[in-house]
Amino acid sequence: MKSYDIVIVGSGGAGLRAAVGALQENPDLDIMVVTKTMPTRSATCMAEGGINGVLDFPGQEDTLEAHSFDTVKGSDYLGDQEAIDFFVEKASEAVRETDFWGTPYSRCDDGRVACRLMGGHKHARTNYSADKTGHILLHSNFDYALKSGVQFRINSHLLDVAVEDGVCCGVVVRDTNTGEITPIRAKAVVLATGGYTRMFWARTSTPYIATGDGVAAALRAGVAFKDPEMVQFHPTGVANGGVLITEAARGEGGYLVNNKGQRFMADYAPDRMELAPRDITARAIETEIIEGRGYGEGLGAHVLLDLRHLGRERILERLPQIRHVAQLFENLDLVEQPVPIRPTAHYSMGGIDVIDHEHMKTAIPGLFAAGECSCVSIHGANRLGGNSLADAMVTGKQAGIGAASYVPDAGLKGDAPLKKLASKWRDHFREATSRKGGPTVPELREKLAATLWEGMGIFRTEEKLQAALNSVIDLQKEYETAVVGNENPICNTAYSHFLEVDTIFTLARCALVAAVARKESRGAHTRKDFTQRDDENFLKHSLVTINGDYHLDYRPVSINRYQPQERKY
Amino acid sequence: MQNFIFLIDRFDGTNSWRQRYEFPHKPGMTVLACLIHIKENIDPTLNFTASCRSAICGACAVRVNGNAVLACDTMVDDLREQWGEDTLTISPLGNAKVISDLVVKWDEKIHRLRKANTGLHARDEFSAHEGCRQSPEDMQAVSKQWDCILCGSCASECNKLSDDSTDFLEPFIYTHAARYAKDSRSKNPMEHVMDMERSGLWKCLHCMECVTKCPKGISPADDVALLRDLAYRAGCTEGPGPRHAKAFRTDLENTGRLNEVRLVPRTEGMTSAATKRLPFTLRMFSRGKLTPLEAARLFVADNKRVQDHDGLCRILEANRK
Repeated sequence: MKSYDIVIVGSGGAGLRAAVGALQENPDLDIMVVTKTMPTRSATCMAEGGINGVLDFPGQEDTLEAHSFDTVKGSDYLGDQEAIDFFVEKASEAVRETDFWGTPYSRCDDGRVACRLMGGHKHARTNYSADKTGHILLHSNFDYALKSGVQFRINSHLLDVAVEDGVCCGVVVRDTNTGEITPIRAKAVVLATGGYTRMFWARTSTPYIATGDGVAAALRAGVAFKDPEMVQFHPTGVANGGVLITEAARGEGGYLVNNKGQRFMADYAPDRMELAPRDITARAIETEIIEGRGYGEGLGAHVLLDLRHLGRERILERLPQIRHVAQLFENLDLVEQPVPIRPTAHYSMGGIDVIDHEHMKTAIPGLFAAGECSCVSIHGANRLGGNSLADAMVTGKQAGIGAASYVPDAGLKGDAPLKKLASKWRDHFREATSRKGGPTVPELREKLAATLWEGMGIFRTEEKLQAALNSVIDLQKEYETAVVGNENPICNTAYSHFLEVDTIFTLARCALVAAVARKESRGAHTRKDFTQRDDENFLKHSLVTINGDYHLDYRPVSINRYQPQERKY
Repeated sequence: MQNFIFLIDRFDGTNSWRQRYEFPHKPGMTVLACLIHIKENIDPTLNFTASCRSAICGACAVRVNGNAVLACDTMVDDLREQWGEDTLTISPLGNAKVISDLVVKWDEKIHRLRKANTGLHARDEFSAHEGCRQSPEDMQAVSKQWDCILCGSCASECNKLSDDSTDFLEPFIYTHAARYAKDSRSKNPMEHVMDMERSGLWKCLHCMECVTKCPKGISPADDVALLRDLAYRAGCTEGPGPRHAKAFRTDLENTGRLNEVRLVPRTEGMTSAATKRLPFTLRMFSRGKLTPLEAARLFVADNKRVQDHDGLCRILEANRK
C-alpha cells in the first residue's frame, strides 16, 4: 500500500497552496496531491474580480482592521472574528508572496499591485490581474508547485477518508483511468475539494467538478458540515445553465427588464436601480419571476438584461466577454437582443467544520481542510467579493503548515480501515454498475436541482423547506435504484458522475436540515416567514453530522471585537 | 436544418471503433452541449472531460475533423458552415495518449512542463515579505503568455511532436518558459531558457499549427523564437539550430533573399552537407528539380540583391538591439 506523510486532495488554489505550504515548512516531507482532474481545471480559474489584501503603501487609508470589519459585517456577523483578524493579516501577506513567486498582477504606474473597489468594501483592496485574477493566481500557484517539486496523482476520485481509533489514517481513491480502487496511507490528509453549489445543478456558476466530494467524505468520517444552508446567489447568471454574466454588465449601465417591459429595479432600489448590491438585485429578480412578471417556467424562468441602448461600439469595447457568454449559452447577440438571466448559485460559505483556524484542523486529528470546502467561518452568512481567492491562498497555506507540523509526531496508522473501505467500494462499483432498469442519474440530478431551487433558493419558508426536505429524502431512496449504464472499469465517467450526484444529495439534505431550523434571515439565508436577523437565538453556527440519521447541533460564533449591528450599506 | 451527426472515435481500453450518433438539430449548441446530450440521452458509456463551460479551465479540448477546438467554446452550426457538411468527426487530442474515447492522459505532459523551471525567481531587491515592483508595460509584456489554459490544443496538431516527441516539447511548455524568461521581475531569465535550449528549442518546424489552434490567441511559435533569441545572445551559437538561424540572417543581410543551396552547408557544415545530403541532391538532379549547373551558379555566383536591400538591413540592425 502506498504511504505518504501528507496527502492533499484537490488541486485548485487551496490544494496547490497547501502542498507548497507544507513543503516550505518541511522540504523533507513526502507529499502527494491527489486530484479528480488535471490540476487547473478547478473553480479557482473562474474567479475574475481579484484577491483581497490590504497592502500598506504610504498615503493609503486602508487598514487591516477595516478589512476585518467589512468582512465581519459582510458575513452578517456569522463570521468568527478572531479567525477573520488572522485571515486579513495573512491575506495581505498572500498577495505579496504570490507577487514574489511570479503572479503577474496588474500594476499602477509606480509599479505597485493595482487594486479595485468591490461591493461591501469601504476601501479599494481587491488586488487584480485584469479580469482573470483567479486563472492567473491558479496557474502561478501550479507553476510554483511544479518548481517546488510537488507530485500529482491525477484522475483520482476521492471516495472516503479513513479513520482508525479516532485518528485519520488515509484516503481511498478510485483511479478513473484504470478503475482501480486504491487505499492510500497518510499521516495527515488535507481536503481541498472545493464547494458544493453543484447541488443546484442547472442553476450554478461553478464548474461541473465542484460537487463537494471532500465535504461528503468528511461527513462520513464523522466531521460536521458547518453552516451548510449558507449558499451565495449571484444575481445574474444566464438562464440556460447559470454561467455568470459579470457585474460589469450592470456597471456599464445595463437594464433589468420584466415581461411588461419595465425596469423593475425602480420598485426595489429606486436610487441605485440596477447598481444595487448583489443580494437586493437577486431578490428583486426572483420576486418578479415568482409574481409572474418573468418569462418562461420552472428552472428556465427568467427576466431580461438589456444592453442594446449602450450601442454596438461600447459593447464591443467594454463587454466583449459578456457578449461571448450570451452567444454561447443563449445563442443571441446582445447588441441586438436582450439576454435572459436569473440568479445563480455561486459560492459555498459553509463547509467542513474547521476548529482551529491557524492550522485548519478538523475535529479528527490528522484531518485538515482548506478553501471553499472548509468552513472556519470567515465568510459567515455572506462572502464579500475578492475574499474567496484570499481564502484559498490563506487557508491553503495554513492547512499545509498545519499538516506539516502535525506529521513529525504522528506515525502511520494501521491499514485495516483502509482495506475495509476499499473493499466496500469495490463491491459498490460492481453492484451499482450492474443495475438495470432504474431511473438515470441526470434525471434525478435535475429533479434535485429543481427541488432545491424551489425550496431552498433565494426565498425560503418553513413550508417550502420542509417540502424540499421530504422530496430529497424520497429522491435519495429512488437514487438507490439509479442506473449507471456503463460496466467498464476503464475511465467510467458515468460511475464518477453517479458518485458525484450521490454526494450532492447528501449535502443538499444537510443544508435543508439546517435551513429549516434557522428561523431567521441572515446574509444569504432569506426566510420569508422570519424576515429579521435573530441574534438572540441564531448567532451560532449550524453543525450537521451524519450517523445513521442527520443530526443538527450548534456552536456559538466567536465575537471578540465587533458587537452585532444592523447590516446596512 | 438537418440532424446533427457526430462520428466519434471511441476507445474502451481495448478496442477502438468509430461510432455514429444522430440527434435532432437545435440552433446554438456548442460541441460540449452535444457531447453532454449524447452521454445523458443516448449513450452513457461515452467519455470526455469538461469543467468550467466558459473557456477558461482547458478541460474540454477535442479534435473536430482533425483540428483541436475547445468543445465548450465552439458552436456546431459554425463548424457545419465551416466544413460545409452536417457530419462532424470528433476525436481525442492528437499527440497525447488516449485513456478512453475523448479523454487523454496529462501525467507525462505535467512531467515535461517541469523542464520549463516554471515559477519566478525574483530579483534580489524584492522579497516575499514586500512583494515586487513592476511597470504596467513590463506586466503587459508577459500577459499574453499567461492566458494559457493548458488545454493541449497547441500540441494536438504539432507536426514536430507527431514526427518525434522524444526531442521536442509541447508548444505550451515553451510559452511557459517564455513568460518567466521575459518577466522584468526575474533574477535570472536564463534559468528558463537553457533547459529549453537543451529540449528541442531549435527543432520547431515553424508549421504554425500551434498558433492557429490556440483558443486564446497565444503564439507559442513566437515564444520559441523569443527563447532562441535569448539563447543565441547568451552564447548558444553552436549546433545546427543556431547555425541555421545565423545562415538565414547572413543571407538576408547579404542579398535580402534565402539561398537554399548555401543554407545547408552553412547549417550542417561542408563535410556533413556534402556526404549526408548527397543522395538527396542526386535525387533532385535525377527528377529534374535542379541541374548541376544551376546548383553551382546558385552556390557561387548568385549574389543579386533584392530591391530596397538597405531598408531590410536597417530593420535587421534595429532588431539586433
